[in-house]
Amino acid sequence: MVKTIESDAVYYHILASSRKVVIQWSAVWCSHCKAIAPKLAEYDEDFADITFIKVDVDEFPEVSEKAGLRAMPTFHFYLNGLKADDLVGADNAKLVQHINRLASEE
Amino acid sequence: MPYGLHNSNQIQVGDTLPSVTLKYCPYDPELSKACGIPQVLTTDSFKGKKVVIFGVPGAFTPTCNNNHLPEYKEKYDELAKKGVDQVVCISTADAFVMDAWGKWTEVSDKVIMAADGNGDFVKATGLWQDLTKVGMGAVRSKRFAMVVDDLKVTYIGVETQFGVSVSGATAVLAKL
Repeated sequence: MVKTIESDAVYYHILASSRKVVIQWSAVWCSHCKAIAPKLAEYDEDFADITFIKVDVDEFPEVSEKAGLRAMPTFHFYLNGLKADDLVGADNAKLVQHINRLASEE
Repeated sequence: MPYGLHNSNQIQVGDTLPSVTLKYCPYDPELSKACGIPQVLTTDSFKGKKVVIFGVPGAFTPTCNNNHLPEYKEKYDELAKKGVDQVVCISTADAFVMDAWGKWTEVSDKVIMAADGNGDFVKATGLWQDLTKVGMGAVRSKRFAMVVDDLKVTYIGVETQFGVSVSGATAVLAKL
């Protein structure tokens, strides 16, 4: 089950403590976010060493603004606390590519 | 620029365009599988540019959709040749509706689909109308077109009956 955060503090904590993180920036009104949700839940199960979290931009405006988003879903890929990659749009093929890239990092 | 809530003075040729904040979802071809997040567009950004602004009472409404917006899309290159820097479509809909309408009409980056959600622009320019009698609410845009050169209005055409004439791209082109 893809985690959701309870607060901005949790968001920062996860980035600081998990080596590999995939963040989905999302909104309840975004149909594309809903469409990709089942796939993301699958990947969460498949990739044991990656932490998947979903952040609702309306619930957490501060961290969302810092993320500089222009559309949703936007995926951010973090390695050792630093953003290594990003992807805009619910393109499953690209998402798989980006996740695999993160997974293969030492 | 301050304005009264019940300003019924319509903007005229020679007037300065009031400073108003609108919203829009910037065109991005990469975003076909994404929901654009509305960004701020202020009329201040029209400074130093020649901008055509046309208003419609509602997105997807028959006349507007069949004549008004597509004609601006089709005549975009001709307008650009006459020095127009931006074409902006305004309605009192929200940015999501404007974005969807723009995508549906495939305007790409030719027309900026601007949302005057609270009616600030149409109230400030005296270009609003009450359409409660047809179930469209008290603050809607009139059908109009204006040419704004470095924030000064050089042309304004407001429709007084059904159809697109003085507010259409052809009429505007003739005035440029």
